[in-house]
Amino acid sequence: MDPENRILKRITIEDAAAADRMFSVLMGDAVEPRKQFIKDHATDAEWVDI
Amino acid sequence: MSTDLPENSDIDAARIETARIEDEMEQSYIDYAMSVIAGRALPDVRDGLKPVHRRILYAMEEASVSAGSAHRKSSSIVGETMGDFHPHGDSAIYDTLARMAQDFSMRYPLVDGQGNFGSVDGDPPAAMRYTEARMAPIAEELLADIDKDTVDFSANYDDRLEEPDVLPAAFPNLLVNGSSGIAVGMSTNIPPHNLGEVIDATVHLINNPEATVEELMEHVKGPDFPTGANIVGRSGVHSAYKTGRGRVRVRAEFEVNEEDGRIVITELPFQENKARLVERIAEDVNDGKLEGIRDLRDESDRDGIRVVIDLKRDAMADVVKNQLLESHLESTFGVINLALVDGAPQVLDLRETLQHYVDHRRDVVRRRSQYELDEAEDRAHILEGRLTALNNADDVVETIQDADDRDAAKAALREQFDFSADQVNHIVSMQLGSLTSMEAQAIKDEYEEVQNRIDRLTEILENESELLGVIEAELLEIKAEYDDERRTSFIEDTDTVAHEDLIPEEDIVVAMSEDDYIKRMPLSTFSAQNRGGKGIIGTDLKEDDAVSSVFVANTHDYLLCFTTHGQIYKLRGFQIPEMSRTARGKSAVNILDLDDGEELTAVVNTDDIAVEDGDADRYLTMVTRNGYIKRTAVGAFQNIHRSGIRAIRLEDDDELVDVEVTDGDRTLVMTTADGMSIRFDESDVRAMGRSARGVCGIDLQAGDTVAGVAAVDTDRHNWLLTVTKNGYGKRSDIGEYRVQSRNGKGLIDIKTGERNGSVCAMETVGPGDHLVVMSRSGQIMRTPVEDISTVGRNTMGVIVMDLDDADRVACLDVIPREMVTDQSEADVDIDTDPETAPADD
Repeated sequence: MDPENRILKRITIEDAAAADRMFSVLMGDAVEPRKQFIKDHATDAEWVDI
Repeated sequence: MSTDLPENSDIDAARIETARIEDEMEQSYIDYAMSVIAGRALPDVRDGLKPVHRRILYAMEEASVSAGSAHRKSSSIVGETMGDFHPHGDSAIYDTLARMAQDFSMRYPLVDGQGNFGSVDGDPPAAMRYTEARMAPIAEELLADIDKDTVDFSANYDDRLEEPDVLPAAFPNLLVNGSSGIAVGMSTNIPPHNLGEVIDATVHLINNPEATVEELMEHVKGPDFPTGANIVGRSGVHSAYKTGRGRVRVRAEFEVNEEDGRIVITELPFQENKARLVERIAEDVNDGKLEGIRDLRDESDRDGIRVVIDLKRDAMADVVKNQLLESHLESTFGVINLALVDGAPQVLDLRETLQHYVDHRRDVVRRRSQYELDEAEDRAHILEGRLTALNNADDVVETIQDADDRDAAKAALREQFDFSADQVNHIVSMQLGSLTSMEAQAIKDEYEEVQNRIDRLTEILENESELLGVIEAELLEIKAEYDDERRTSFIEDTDTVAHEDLIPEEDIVVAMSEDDYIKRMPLSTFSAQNRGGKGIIGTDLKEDDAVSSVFVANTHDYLLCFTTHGQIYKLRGFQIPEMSRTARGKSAVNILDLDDGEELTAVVNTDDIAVEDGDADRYLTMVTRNGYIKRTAVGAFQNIHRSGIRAIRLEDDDELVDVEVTDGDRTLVMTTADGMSIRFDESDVRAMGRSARGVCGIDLQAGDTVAGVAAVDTDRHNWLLTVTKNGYGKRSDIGEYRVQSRNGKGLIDIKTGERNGSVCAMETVGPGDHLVVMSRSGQIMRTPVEDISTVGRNTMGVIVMDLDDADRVACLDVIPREMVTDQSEADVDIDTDPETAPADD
C-alpha cells in the first residue's frame, strides 16, 4: 500500500489461446486438470498467506 | 511500452511491470490455492487444528482466559485473536469459537461457553457481544508446555508478536475432535472419535511400531459422534481407516412402539439439523410420499432429543420405519482423512495419522525435557555455588568484609573459589539468615533433588524407550482424566428389508385426472353393480379438472405408463399414494413428470412380462390416433429412467392412444371413434425399435381417429367389449370379426350416432371378468362384463353407465377374473333388470 514501494502490474494478452487454456484449467468445470495443476505447481507458490 | 497514465498521476512509470495474463493467473492462482490449503482450510496432523482454531486458543492462553479463570466476553476473545494473530473477518472467528463450544458439534468441546451458542435445530449462536467463553479444561492440555520451547513459533502477520506453528497437543486431537474443510481442489472430512479408544490405539502403536491398521482398529472401533446415533455396517469404517477414504452410514437412534403406534427418535446422525429433518418429514407426509403418519411432534427439551411420529391406526410400523430410514433417518459421512503433514496435504490411513502424532509428541517431549534439563542444570550450578559458599562461610564473609565495594567482593570471591558470574551474584545477594543449618540443609536437599531431576531428564533424552514411556504415561493420564463412554453404537447392516416386502399385496384401482392428480384405492372399495347404474363417486376433482384415466393393478406390480406424447414411465403400484374414494389425490409430479397436455393413455402391467430380462417373446404393441401401429420387443424398455423414455416416434398432431402386451401370435383388433374396427394377425406388423413410427394399421375415413387396440388371446377371451363415450356398450363374439390384412378400412363394430357418441375404448374379455368404467366427472362403476348383453357386430348396444347430461366416459379397464375371484363380494345378482337397479350413490 505504501506509495513509495508499491508496484503496478500491467496485464497483457499476447497469446489468447494460451490464456484461454490457463483459464479453462483454473476456472473450468473439469476438476481433475485443476487438481493436477495444483499438485504440479505446489512448490511454485511465492506469497503464501498463512 | 507506452504508459497511458493520467498526467497528474503520482505513479512512477518506472515501477510498472508487465505480465502476461496466463502467467499472472498461474502464479496468483497457485499462491491462492496453497494459501488456502496450507494456511486456512486444512488441519495440521499433529494438533488437529486449523490456523484459526490454533490462534483462538493461543489468544485465549495469552489473555489468560483459562479453564480456571472467569468467563470472558466472546467479542473480547475474538478481538484479541483478530488483532494479534488472525487478520480476517470477526464473524468467521466467532463462528469458529462458537462451534468449539457446541457440544453437538464437538465430541470434546475445546471452549466452555456461557450463553446461547446455538442448537441442533440450526439456531445460530447469540451475537458475540452477548456470549461469554473460556477454555475448556481439555483445551489446556492442547496448550500444555507451550512455554517450554516445545514447538516452533513464527512471527505474526505484522511482525509484532510470535505465534505457535503447532500446539504441543497432549492428546491426538485430529482424530478425537475430527475436522472438516474445503480447500482448493481438495477437501477434508474427518469424523470425531472416542478419546479413550484413540489413546489406547496410540499407546498400542507406541509399543508396537509395526502395528497394522487392523490391530489399531481393535482399539478404535469407529467414529464416535457427539450426537450418538448408530453406525451401520463396518465396511465403510474399515475402508476409511485403511485407505483414508470411506463412506460411513449413520442411522438415527429410534424406537418403534407398535403398541402405542408411534416411532420415537432420540438421536440424530451427526450434523443433522433436527428442525429441518422434522420439516422434511412433514413435507413428505403432506405430499403423500410418506404414508401411515398421523402426527409429528418435536418434544425435545433440555434432557435430550425426542421427535415423536404418531402412526395411523392401520399403518404398519415396519413399513413406515423403512420408508423413514430410506429417506430421512440415515445419512452418510464421507470420510476423507486429509491433513497437513509438514505443510503439505496428504490423505492418511489410521496408522499414519497416529504415527505422525506420536512423532510430534516425541519432538515435544524431547524439547520440553531439554528445556527442563537446561533449567535444572542452571539451578544446580547456582546451588553448587551456594553450597561451596556455605561450606566456606567464614572465608566468604571475611573476603566480602575485606572488599571495598560489591564489585570488588565479587571479583575477590571469584578469584578465591572459582565461582562463575551467576554464582557469585547469588552469593553476594544471600541473606545472613540462610547461613542457619536448617537453610543449609534445605539447599543440600534441593541440590539432591535437582541432581535426580537431571539424571531423569538425561535418561529421557538419551534413551528413546524412556522418552516413549513418558509419552505413553502422559497419554494415559489424559485418558484417566477425560475419558468417557462411547456414544455412537454399531449395528450390523441387515440390509434394510426391502420396502416392498412389507407392503401388502393388494389389488388397486388407480385414477388420474387431467391436472395430474393421482391416487390409488383398494379394488375392494368398489363392489360390482348392475350395468346401467350411475356408479359411485370415485374421486374429488378441482374445478375444470376431469378424470383422464383409470386402471386396475396390484400394489406390487411394475407398471409401464404410456402417455399421449409417446413417453413411457415405470412405477410400482405402491408408489402411488393411497387415498379414499372421495379424496382428490396427490400431484403426480413426483412419480410421473408429465408435460402440459400430456396424459396417461395406457398402463401395462408387467407382473408377468420380464422387462428386466428383456423377454424375447413379448412385445408392446402401440397404436396412434392417426392409425399407425407399432410392435417393439420389451427388451428395448429395460432402462426406463425416472424422467421416462421415448416409446414411439409420433408425427406432428398424432398421439399415442393405446398399448397392449402381445406375444407375436395374437390377432389384433384396432377400433375407431366412429365405430369401425379391423382385425389382423400380429405377425402382419413386424417388430421395430423404440424410436420407430410403426406402420399403417387401419385406413381411417376422413375425420375418424383410432380409439384403441385389443389383443386377442383365444384361450381366455371370448368377446370384444366396446364402450362409447355416452355410456353405451356391447359385447360381441370375437368370431364375428374376421381376420383381414392390415391397413384396410375394416368392418363396422358398433353404431355410434347421437345416442351412443363416439367409441371410448374396446377391450377383449372373457367369462368372469369385470369392467371398471370411470366418467370424466369422477363417477366410477364396476360391473361384470357378462351383464352387458352379447349382440352382433354393427348394432347399437345397451346402456352400461347412466351418465349425467354433460358427463362422458373417460376411461375403462378390465378386472381380470382372477382378481374378481380373489374377492368375496364379487357375487352380484345379474338377473335384476338393469334399467331399474338403484344407483349406489
